[in-house]
Amino acid sequence: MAPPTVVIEKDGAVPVIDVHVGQAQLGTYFVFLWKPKAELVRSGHNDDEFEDRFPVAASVSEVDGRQLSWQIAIQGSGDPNETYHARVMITQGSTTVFMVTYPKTPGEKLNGAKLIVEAVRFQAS
Amino acid sequence: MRRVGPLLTLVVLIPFVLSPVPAAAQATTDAGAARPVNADLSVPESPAFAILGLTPQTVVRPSNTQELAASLLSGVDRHGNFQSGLALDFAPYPLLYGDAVTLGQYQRNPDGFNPTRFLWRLQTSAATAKGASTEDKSIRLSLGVRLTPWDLGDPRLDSSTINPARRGVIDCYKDVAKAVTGVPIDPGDPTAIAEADKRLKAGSQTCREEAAKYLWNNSSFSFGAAPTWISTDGTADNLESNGGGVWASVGYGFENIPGLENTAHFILHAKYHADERVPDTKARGQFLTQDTTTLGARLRLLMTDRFNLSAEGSWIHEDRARRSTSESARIAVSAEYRLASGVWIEFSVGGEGGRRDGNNQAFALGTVKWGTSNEPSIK
Repeated sequence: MAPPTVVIEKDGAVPVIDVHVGQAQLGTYFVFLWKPKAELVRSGHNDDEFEDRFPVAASVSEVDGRQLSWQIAIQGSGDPNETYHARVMITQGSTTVFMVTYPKTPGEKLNGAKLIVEAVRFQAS
Repeated sequence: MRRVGPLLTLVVLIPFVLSPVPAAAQATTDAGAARPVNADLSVPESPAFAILGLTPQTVVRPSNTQELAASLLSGVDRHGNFQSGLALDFAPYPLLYGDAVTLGQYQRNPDGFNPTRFLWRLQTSAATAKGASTEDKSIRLSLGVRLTPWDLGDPRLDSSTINPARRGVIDCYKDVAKAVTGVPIDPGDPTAIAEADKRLKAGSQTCREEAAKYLWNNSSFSFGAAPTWISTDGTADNLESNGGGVWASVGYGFENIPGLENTAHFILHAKYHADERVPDTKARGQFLTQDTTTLGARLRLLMTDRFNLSAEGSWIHEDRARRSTSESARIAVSAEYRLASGVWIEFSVGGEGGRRDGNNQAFALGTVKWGTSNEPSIK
């Protein structure tokens, strides 16, 4: 299935991605920009001193027509009834151009750990 | 005494109203594994049950927070009356605001006070118990709260960035996550995603099982309080105050002592219950008011993956209205056996002696516990 298209302003600021993993669970993420081969934009954890919000490229033209993917590993207690929460938000300047929260199915359990892999494709206009 | 039935009914319902899990779904939600690995020593004692005096052991151990847990009890209490009860435990902060809390926010100031971690570990509970004998037809209710300000066994803090001397479960998690997600996965390939998810789950489970072997008995401190109510005739219309109680437990995990470090847990416990109404053993159907102080100790030993033993001794001082005070000693030995993942059966036998009224009792309580825990498998 083709990833959703995110329309951004070609004269606007570079898109910024924000990865949030809640429920005090360990979140590990890798963000890739496909050119078309995947290149790592940044990786990180939600327990370190580094902000989990960062630009996805150096310029808008660099992302135009390209796919941005994120791979998030969420690891919890192992309780089969444990819930989880993650959110990926992409902004351009002060405008939120894309946002998704997980789980997409309300009440879905973590089952010890969960891998999220999704992407969007940018279109500058 | 002032009747509080309608108010109490409302308060008891609050957990169900606030919980994001529909009440009708809680029975199945609670039925999950509490501690599915070998170091599981069953779900924590309910704070509300503890004040009602209906945990099989007198000594309540400090333990970790559970988002949702249920305990059923059926047996004979230490006054010799048959009791059946239900307790629902929940942690309001994770349930209501957990989505906003990152692991980093939870870990801040690991050796000091962190309001986020403090609130996360706040456990509340509501418990009911009903007597089923002719001497005791009462219904007792309790609302409990428990805080765990210090816990060396908290897996969320088990990281080399916090304790450089130990490679913890968080470090293990990171290694697994990097191995699985460090290479790009085609977002349009569900088979590849499913395979990677499977490897992530398996690797994470291994991390938890390894950590459980050394975290389950680490030292910690908990304290709690609970007001209680009673209806001596078992009718909801006659609910009245049954006083209240406070308790504290400190656990010692024999850290850095070879042989005991990962197999033994020693607990000291103190409890005080004021203005408690108890069945009068000398006047059938009558109740008297007493203040009860309990001091106790408990030793837990991890025997096998499925079988654990604990022994406890306690001293109980009962100060009764219009009666002489009573002091007694109580001993109990408990065994718990894991029937299935997160489901434990627990059986306690014991007795007490030294009571001035001569009402020394042998008692037996059996419980089946099940529950959910946010950090169970690495305790």
